[in-house]
Amino acid sequence: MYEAMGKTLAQMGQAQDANAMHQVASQFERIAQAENEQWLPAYYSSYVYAISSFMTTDDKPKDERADKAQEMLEIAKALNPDNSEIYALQGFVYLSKLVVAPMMRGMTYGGRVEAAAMKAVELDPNNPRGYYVHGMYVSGMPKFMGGGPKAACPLLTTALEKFETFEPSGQMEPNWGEDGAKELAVDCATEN
Amino acid sequence: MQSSGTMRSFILSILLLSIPFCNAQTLIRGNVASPDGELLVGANIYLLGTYDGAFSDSIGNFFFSSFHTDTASLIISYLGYETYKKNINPQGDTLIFKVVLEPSQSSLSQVTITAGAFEASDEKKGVILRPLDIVTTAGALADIATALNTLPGTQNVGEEGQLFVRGGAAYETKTFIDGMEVLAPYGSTVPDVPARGRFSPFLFKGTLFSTGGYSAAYGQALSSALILETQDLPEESVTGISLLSVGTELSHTQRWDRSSIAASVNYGDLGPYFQLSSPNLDWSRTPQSWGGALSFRHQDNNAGVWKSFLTYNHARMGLEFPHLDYPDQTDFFTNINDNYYLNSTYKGILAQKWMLEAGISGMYDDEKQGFLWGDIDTRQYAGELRGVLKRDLNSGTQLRLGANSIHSYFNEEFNSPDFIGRTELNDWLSAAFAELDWKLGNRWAFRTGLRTEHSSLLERINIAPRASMAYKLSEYGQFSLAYGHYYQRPQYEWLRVTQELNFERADHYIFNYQWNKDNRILRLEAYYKDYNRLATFDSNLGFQPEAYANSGAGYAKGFDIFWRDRKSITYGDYWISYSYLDTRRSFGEFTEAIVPTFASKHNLSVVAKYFVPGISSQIGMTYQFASARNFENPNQPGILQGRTIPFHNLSANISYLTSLWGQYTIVYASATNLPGFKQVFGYRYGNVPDDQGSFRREVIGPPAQRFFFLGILISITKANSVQP
Repeated sequence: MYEAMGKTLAQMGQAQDANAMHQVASQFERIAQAENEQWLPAYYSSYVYAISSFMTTDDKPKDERADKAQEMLEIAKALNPDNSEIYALQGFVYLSKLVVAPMMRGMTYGGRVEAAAMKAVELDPNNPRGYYVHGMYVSGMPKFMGGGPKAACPLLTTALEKFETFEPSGQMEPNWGEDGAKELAVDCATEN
Repeated sequence: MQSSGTMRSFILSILLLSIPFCNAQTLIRGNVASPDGELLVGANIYLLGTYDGAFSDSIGNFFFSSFHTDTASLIISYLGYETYKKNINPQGDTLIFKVVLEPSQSSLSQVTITAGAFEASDEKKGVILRPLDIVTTAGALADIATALNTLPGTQNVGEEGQLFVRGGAAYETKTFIDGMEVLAPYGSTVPDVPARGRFSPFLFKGTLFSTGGYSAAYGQALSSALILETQDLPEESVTGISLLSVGTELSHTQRWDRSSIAASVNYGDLGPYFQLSSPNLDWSRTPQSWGGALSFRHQDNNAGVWKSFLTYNHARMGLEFPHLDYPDQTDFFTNINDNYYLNSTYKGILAQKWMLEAGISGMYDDEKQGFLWGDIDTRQYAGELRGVLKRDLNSGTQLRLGANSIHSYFNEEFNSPDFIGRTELNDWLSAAFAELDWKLGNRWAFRTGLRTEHSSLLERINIAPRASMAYKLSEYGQFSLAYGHYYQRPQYEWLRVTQELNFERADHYIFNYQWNKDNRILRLEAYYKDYNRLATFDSNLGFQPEAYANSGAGYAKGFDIFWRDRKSITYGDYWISYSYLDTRRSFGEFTEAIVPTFASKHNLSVVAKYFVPGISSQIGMTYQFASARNFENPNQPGILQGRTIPFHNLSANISYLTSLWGQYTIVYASATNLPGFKQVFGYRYGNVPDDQGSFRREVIGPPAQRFFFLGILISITKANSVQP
């Protein structure tokens, strides 16, 4: 499994567009169904489906890919309940659902993103991805709702501090988000 | 490009050639397409339980090899399509598959029965409204019925504030909350002051407004059903503060893992407002109200949901005006109302594909009305028990079986110097229904149902067949038809003297076309409603049992046009509704067929909403028009010979979204009848002619020519204020 996972992770690093990401996600899904007692393949499949959803522009496939990410996340969650990483990813997947129709879904999915991110932090206060996903959401939220890059600053700063010290417990364990958090932190520092 | 393609096919052919030499290796290849012949790119193809698999390439082809030699399942999956699964036996040869994937039910724009139905939901696709639309429609002031009044099939009846559907009286529309009938869905009021719904639109996640042809699951409404579904578990704990120009509301919702409790209190007083705005009316007691609500939600381990809520509401108001017959005297109306409502339901999976919906509800309403000539105290109660079983037989086929029983009690006491009287009525109304939804292919959908009801008061049974169907013409367009028999117990007004009456009856015939694409909806509907056995009262016979009969009959026919466009204007959204109504019937005191006073031939609504990102505000406008209505002028011969002026209304609102102390805040302002159109709903005439022999009259109009409203709504959530 590790070889296949490693290869697929490497492909993920090279994937440039939504369709390539989608293929990587499908490959993780294939590994997940073969290794149906391991949570990581399903976890990565969900993560990459969510990324491919973010990268997709048309509403319908965007929504379908986000749903698929949720479906794979449920598999990972069943194998590894009460894991901080799963909840951080849950926040990320909810965010992928939210951005399909922010005006309509902002109210419901916004609450869900926050609840999932907070649960991730509660389960493991050292997991930077809980803060990062929360910061991502706040940063994209309109200013009138108390959001915007500036409002997200404290969350992103905390995320970056946690990224400094974070060590994944294994080679394949989740370790994403640091670059993204840095990018968002630049936005929050430059905004007046 | 050319050469690299050639190179690729060269390598491919080498690969293909080399394969037969490896003994146990099986080559699996083929292509994937949709039923329309479209080649599917990037489908995931693999042997279940193994790592062996591939994607379909840019022309839908795939191939991969496997050393697996046992029987295995070949899986081909593609988002938006049903997954293909086939057991294969790889024996070292080449297996070729040409697979056509069927679109999955959830991704397909499904054929649904839309005749007569307007649905507001966040969860379902292709619905006409979102729950938020009810709150953001200008002029509606977050009142469900007023917002729905901008949809076709409704008539503007400004003095009532209730829903009048396709020539039907207000009582012909029933409200159901979580499946159960609501005895008094509107607040009490005095004549001429429009009623508001008792229930806030924020309580509901889904609204189905049927203007006819509704399901056998509901009954006792001749014209229309308003089916409301309460919210599930709230997303998070939240405290809400609303400061309004006419009152205030405080609420708190606490969410736990699987449960939630919400409590709210409200106080309203129109006094300060009316003192400022010099209303058309002279209030002896300006409308005042207070109340509270308590609700509980719990989700159990089997995805079952318990919901309970309890509300209490008190309202009082009083109006004074010069006596029509004796102008030097003062006449008055007063109204004091107390209302309690409880609704408790469970929805869950019973056993193997059987879903259960069970509920109990009860409303107690006490209304004390005061008039110059005396008082009326009306106490009503209705309690309901209801259960529905649902079973999904196969994709698209669902069977529903249900029964309910409503005990209603009506007690009215008259108290005047010359007359004291009391009426007490009791009824057990029991009903059972069966309904089957089924589909024929992807284009046809059918719903057939049968409902039967028994009233202990009338000692009568009715049997009501209902049927509807839809045919999908294309990806975006479809036709629907609906037909049904609808029965309703006559109003207490007629049952007071005699119970020897039968159910009133209406038969609906509806033809609907709907086109829905990319946030644009066109909906055309034609209908015919045949009224029969309406309760009548022959005033020539006086208040004798013989004066009451089921001899009323008539029709309502017409068509509706609805167009909504959420696409053409960025941040903009508008809809236009037009209804044409032709109706005539004998009912109540009208023993010959007339056009009822609440019916107007033409009704038009234009609703527009526009979000201005620069100022974080949503601006809304609603224009409504209704053609002239009938009224009876006793100064002229004949009945209902008077015609009012047509009705115009233009309302506007603005919601400014901001944050106060880091909390999500909405500042809301609204104005009803901004241009100050003169609105005349009818006239009230005196009973005694004056010196010239004519009856004096006064205009029935809105309580204030314009109505302004200002509010601040703050939502405090933990997540908003948490800083790491």
